[in-house]
Amino acid sequence: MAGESNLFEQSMESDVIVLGSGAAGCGAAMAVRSKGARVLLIDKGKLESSGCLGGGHDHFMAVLHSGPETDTTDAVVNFYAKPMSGLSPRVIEEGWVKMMPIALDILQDVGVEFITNEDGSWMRTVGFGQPGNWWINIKNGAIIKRLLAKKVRDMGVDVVDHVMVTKLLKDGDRIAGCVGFNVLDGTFHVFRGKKVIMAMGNVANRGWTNSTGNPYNVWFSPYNTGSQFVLPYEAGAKILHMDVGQLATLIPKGFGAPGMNGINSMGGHELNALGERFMGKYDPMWENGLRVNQISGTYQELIEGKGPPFYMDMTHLDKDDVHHLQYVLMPGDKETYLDYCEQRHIDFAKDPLEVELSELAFGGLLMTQDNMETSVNGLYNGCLFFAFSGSMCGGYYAGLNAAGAALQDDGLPEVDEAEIMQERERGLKPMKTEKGVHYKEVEGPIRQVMNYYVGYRRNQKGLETALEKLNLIESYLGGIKATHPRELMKANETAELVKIAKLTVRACMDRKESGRGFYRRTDYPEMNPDLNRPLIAWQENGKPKFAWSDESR
Amino acid sequence: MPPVINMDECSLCGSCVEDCPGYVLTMTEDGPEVVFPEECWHCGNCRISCPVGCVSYEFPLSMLV
Repeated sequence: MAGESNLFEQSMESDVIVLGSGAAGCGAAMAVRSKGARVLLIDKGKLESSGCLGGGHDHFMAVLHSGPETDTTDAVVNFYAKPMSGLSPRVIEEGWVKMMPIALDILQDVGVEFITNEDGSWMRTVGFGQPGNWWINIKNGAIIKRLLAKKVRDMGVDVVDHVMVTKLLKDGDRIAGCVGFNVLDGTFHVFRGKKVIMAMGNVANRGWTNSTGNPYNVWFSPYNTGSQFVLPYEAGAKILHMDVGQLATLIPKGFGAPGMNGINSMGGHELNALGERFMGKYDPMWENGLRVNQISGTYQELIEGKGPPFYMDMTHLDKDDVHHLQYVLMPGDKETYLDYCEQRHIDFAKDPLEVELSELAFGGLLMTQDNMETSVNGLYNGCLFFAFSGSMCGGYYAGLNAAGAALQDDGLPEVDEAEIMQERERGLKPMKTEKGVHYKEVEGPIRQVMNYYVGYRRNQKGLETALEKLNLIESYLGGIKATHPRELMKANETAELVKIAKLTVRACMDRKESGRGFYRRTDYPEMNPDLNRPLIAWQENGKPKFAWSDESR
Repeated sequence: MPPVINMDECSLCGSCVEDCPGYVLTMTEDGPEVVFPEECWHCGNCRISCPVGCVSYEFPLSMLV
């Protein structure tokens, strides 16, 4: 067990604290244990079902050096080490590619079934505009998280389920731990550690809605409201991509679910309302091009009146392929996919699947050095790379680095009791507020603002107006009441949402160009070559600061 | 709204309540109850965790139009 500290009633300490028990957090915690260090793995959910991986996943990106020149480290480095990415060639190689075989071994060891061809080779597909078929298909994707969770617990990771972390603690410039509360019983918890790894997920939801209007019926986990960025930002860390990091995809009409990469890569054709296959106008790789092009292309068709509806047509595919898509890959990505198909009478082989542009999602990237440390001393980033593979591999590499550094440290950093008491007061305040507003009365208007002013088309005046209204919403945070711990969690999530929404809007105001993200600025319709670099955001004396990275990688 | 528990088959083990990442279900004296159906991500975890297979999903009209 991690050591017990007597500083506060509910207090624990460890060498490394991992925040977030999704794919990245599991990777990080396992790596720390592999080095023999102690580790706390904290999440507001439960390890067996937390994170995006809790909802399943159907493919794993792995470069295997199997022969083709696209199946090499260099190919991955060339694809991802772009001026805009914030990733160095070294960290892509060391932190992702070299971790892939380790992650694959772990996954196979716990019972994840990868699909093979008749000759025994991996069944692999191409996607996202990548040059090679880097994606290994998974058969039992819906239960990956449970399989991994057992391994994590068996390795001696100290798992802390059901705790929402609300603040990172520092000792001077050095990370010292974090505090939070149990979402089941409302108790306040203090965690002290030599190193902390952020593994809370780069995609946050509930800022926008799709056509159903339900903020929980979304592509990525709706229970992630941006802790990965809000917590480090408030601790002084620098963050990239709050502007262009926002995500969107195509989803089956009315169903917040992943899977479009599988459909695109197996040969699905996107059609507009006129029955035209149009993606060639927007990407030379058609549906297998960059996701940003598929989204902006579909939106362009929409405003030209060529849709809705939009469809993914798979009726021309080989009978076995289309069956594999609907009955193996899709339910692996989302366990309830076949319930949706049954209730909408969907058969990929017979009729095109109606799809829609999804809700937008918040996104970004903690600015990270090659050793996975952020701009805060001792605070590491487990979420540097893309998708399940990037999360697990990057988490693992962050775990190795953080554990190595923690084992060199003699003692725990000090924590400030007054700061802890202040955060306890703030975080738990809704439970003591009798006459106040329900969190829904504050959270709902955030989406109202984001949907209305900060959509697929934006302009400066709209962004400024959005910021004014978000400031108004923020002024209501102190008056939110909660009658039980679940509502306390929601109240704190609402506070996170306001903060990440404001940061996102401010960042979008600075990027005066179009074409690098999922949205376009109508007042700056062209791409500006001088802005081919990340926008950095951080906090100074309580105020947001922004600067363009001058680091060319 | 998803999920739907067949109480005739439910063994009252509470696994679905424990494994829901959104705290959508709660355990009552009568068994698991879907208290916040509109906050369900339809991730399937409650069904995966159910040892007797008594969880099904019924999507609301808003997801069928």
